[in-house]
Amino acid sequence: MLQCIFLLSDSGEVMLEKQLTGHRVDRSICDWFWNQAISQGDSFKQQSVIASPTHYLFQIVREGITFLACTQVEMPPLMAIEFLCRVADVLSDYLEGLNEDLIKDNFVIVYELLDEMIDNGFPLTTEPNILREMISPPNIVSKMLSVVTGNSSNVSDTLPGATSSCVPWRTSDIKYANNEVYVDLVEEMDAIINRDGVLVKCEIYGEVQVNSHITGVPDLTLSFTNPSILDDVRFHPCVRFRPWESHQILSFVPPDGQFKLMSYRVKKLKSIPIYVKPQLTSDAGTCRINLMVGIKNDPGKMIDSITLQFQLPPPILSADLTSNHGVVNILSNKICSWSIDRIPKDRTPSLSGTLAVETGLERLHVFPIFQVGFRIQGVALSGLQIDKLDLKVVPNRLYKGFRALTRAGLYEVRS
Amino acid sequence: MFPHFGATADTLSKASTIMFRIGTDAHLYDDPEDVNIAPLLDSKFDSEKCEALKRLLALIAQGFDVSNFFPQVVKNVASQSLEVKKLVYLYLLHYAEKRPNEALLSINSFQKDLGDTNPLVRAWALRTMAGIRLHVIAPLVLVAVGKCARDPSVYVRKCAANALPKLHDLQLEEHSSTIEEIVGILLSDHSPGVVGAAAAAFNSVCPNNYSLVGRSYKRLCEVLPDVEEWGQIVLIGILLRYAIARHGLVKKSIMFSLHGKESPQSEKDGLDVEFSLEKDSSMDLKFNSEMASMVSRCYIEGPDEYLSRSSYTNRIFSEFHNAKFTSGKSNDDVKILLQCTLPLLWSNNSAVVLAAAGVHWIMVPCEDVKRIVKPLLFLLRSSSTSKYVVLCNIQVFAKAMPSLFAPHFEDFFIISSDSYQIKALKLEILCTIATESSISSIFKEFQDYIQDPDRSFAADAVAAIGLCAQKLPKMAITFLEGLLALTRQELLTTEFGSIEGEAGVLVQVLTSIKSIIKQDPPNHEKVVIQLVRSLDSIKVPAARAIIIWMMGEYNNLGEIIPRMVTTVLQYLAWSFSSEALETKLQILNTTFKVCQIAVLVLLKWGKINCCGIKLLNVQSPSIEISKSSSSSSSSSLSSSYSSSKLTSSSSSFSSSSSRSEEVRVDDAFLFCCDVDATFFPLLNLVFRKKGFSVAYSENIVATFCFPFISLICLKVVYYLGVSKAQSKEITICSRFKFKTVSRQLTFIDTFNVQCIYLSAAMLYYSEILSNAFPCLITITAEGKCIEPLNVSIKVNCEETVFGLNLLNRIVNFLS
Repeated sequence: MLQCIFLLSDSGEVMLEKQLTGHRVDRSICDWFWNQAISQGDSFKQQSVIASPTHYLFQIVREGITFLACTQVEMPPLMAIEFLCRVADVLSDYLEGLNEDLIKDNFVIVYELLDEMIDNGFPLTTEPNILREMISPPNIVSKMLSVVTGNSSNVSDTLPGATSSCVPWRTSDIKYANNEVYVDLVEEMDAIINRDGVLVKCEIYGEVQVNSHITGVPDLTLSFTNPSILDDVRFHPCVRFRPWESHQILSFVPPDGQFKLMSYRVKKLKSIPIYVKPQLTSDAGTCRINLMVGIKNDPGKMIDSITLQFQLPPPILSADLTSNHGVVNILSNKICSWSIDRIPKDRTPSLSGTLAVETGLERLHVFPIFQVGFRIQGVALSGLQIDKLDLKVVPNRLYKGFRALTRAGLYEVRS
Repeated sequence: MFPHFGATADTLSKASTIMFRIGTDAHLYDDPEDVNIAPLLDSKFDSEKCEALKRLLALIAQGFDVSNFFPQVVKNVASQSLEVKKLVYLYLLHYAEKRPNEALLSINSFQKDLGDTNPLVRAWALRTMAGIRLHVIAPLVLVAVGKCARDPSVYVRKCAANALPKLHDLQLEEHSSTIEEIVGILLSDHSPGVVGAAAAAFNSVCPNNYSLVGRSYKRLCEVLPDVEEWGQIVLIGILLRYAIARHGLVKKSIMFSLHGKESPQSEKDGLDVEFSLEKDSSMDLKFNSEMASMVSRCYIEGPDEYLSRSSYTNRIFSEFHNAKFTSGKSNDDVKILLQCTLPLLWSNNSAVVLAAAGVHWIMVPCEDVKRIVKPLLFLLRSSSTSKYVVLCNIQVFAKAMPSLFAPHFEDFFIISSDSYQIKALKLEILCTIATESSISSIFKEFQDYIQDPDRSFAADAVAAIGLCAQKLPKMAITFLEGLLALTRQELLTTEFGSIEGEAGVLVQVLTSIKSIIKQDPPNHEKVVIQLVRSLDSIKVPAARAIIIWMMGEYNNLGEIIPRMVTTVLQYLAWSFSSEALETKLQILNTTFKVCQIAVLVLLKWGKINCCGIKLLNVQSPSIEISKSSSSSSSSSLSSSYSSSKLTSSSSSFSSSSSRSEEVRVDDAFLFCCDVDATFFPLLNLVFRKKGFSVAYSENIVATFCFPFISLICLKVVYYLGVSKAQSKEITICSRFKFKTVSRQLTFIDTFNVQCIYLSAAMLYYSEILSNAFPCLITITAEGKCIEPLNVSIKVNCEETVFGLNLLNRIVNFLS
């Protein structure tokens, strides 16, 4: 079980410590941690489980804030990591963002939340809805009130009813004049195009996001026309397993507001919306680069926010790049980004230029990898379609809305 | 609201920052001590008390010790305001252990709160009271917990469950049965929320009290999907342990297939295998079955206890030892557990998915295990923070059953945003799961990786190609061609020699080629020739060393190589003084190997002496030594010995060369240099025959003078890193201490060296040890010079099966 949680700022300052058990952890462990982080660089930041001389450390980094948890006993590592993620989610939800100032300004709330979320190293209340009722988030009204009266409590006097209900994610008595439910399919396309220009892997990672504002305790069912294409799924705790097992129907009592109902994956897709043709020729100490971007398979909707990003390989000293469309930027850490936005009708966007190679090198032997970004509104490229959304008891004035969006996930073109 | 704001964008943003910070506790965190805290604590207004407590909390957050306010804070515990209460509790919990006497003052107020009508107040009081952790009040807390365990509020019962481990921590022997009883009550609670917390309490209070679980096993299984996620993780583990303890492993499961036959009692500890040469080496057969019963014992006893027990010799597990087996299809308990954990593979919490996957991995018949594959792979994409842990687990699964993940090789293709550790893990998994149908796509990927800007990753990719080739010999030719093309390509770049990473890649390419050739040397004769020919253009010392090693190893392979040997050796002798240390070692090694076969060539070669390679005809060393009279040659030996001390520095080499002409080759200076396979037999040979030997070294230090001690210690420390699986560097530190009233002693006396302390640093390109497990091998050789050496080997390895196999192979190879 976890023994201590530290919150570190991006300069390594310990902003907050919360001891969880009788086995206290000295904050000198943070010094050790930070020294390691400095000496080992970025790769250390990406290690989620670290063995220090005295403790096992779990870390996640969000918006520059490091959440560090320590333990000395055997425990499932993913439990610690998932819990830290949950803490980070709840905090950024409460504070409407996450940074050093926000945490310092609201340290009392952070303490109160941590105290409620974990007890003796084991998670206690992690359901955001219940937490919101127990500890109210800082908002303008309470802030103003505290200025005017000098007194406001954000700690609730009563225990939220949901703690004892069988749907702990839902506040019990909610009333709306207008009942609405929106279902969004948000998909990310992952693709790898290898150095020969062959599509090696193409798949969709998608989420069904629901935003519901419905009176009472509604019971919803959502079905797809083609659920068989789904390769694998994960559900929000509210989804009942049985109906999905037997009929691939999502039956659930939704939490109030925005939440992720399910995530899914569709593998082995064959077509990609955008192609990138990189050409690198190097000779006698210089390298010419030529990039072309265009639409490969028209998804039927406008593709926008097209970007292309790549890291110049270490042997390249400088680059002189121009494009016939969009803006090219070279950042200080040799990351080159080209924002195209929409592909114009009259010409194919291309980027060309010369790269100066380190002296002594005849030609380039390592090649950059291009990360592509795009967004297509109104289409779910996996082809998944929502069939219908039903309510068991239909309230008066119900509005249902459906949307779809596809954007690039890990979309890479090697050169 | 504020008409005067918002005139310009500038003031607007200013206003928003002000607005933003107004009413927050920002000023309290920045300057917690700008007012006197003590009077505020005694104020009669709750708001002032709150402010004071917040200031104290800010100081705690920043790491200051504010325990001196304890008495004043404790007084406020009786406050009616819940906010004050909460803040006081936070403070109390932080310092209670430091100030036990004052903490006792708060007890009355807790007792009162426990009877409050508001469940929130009761729960908080219980949490804090148990959290204070004082022995004195433990009986009171126990009573309170017992009462709260029957509270009408779910939340309070949950807090009661959480309080149990806190009590257990105090190690109250006399109350342990009461605590366990309460755990039992809570485990059979009708609310899933309480069950989850009770499961956590069960795990830390009484992990082996299976009767508690047995009572309500079925219900616990059924309630599992409704328990909150954190409780699920723990409960799954408990139910699994119970099922194994009750029914044993499932027939036809992976664990069962490992089990094989009934295992006899053994004294071996799974993590630290000690083994000596004299013993029979048929241990590893038994080992697999040993493993399975170990696994089941580990589950039955709970991992904490099992792992903490450092050594268990001859313990008899009367109930569990003869591991029981059950059939997964007919046993209801197993069936219901599998049924209820199956939907959890869809959980949104990656820890739950992994725990559920673990149950199926252990309990399901082999043919059904594949149902855990997709959920595990999905975790890789859907929760990026847990990627590393999930990959580590997949690696373990894949090693045991590669076919499981073989069709999903695409999921392990590497993307540029992966961290180095993840890339390395993925490569390893790809090697493990590669099959003949997928290898061509995987090889194509590997070739892409070689051009990756991250050169250490590129080197790993090359190493992976080598590993795949060993796994799938059919593809070896294709791989070799690809690798050879790389040597030519890398040559171009490394000629400019600037980049360290390139050298690493090149060395890795050659290591991989070497391992492929080793599988079937006769077929790859041309490759060796080609490499030897390119020797002149390859500048990286480690790469040269490998090629030279191959030259020596395959010196009588085919028809062309034996004819090349003399020319190559001449070339090497010529370049010797300008070579790096490791290359020198390999040159010596190669020359040594060659001379075993072609004694005449070498004896003819007086000139090799001039290069500092003093050669010994090992095939008959003792005879030669006995013939040479020690007294007559002692003076010349002394000079050459002192020069051989400095063999590494080329300058002294050349200076010694003129003198060493006097020394006859058969005067028995033996350079034990790198020495892969030849070293140990050689050492044995040398000592058995009392030959005088000098080990080659970077820095031979003649310090320690311990005459008359009959110990020869040879320590081989061998570390195989996970990431650098292929760079097998071995350092051999040897201490030779002589005590024999023999000719050699007088020999030594004339040198005024009573004892020789040698430290030989060697490169050990081991062939048998290629695997990616980190392990530490210690080889100790001790004994008297005149008797056979007593060699014992200790392998310290995370993976026991691998460790044992390794040990076996070393043993075979030494004997």
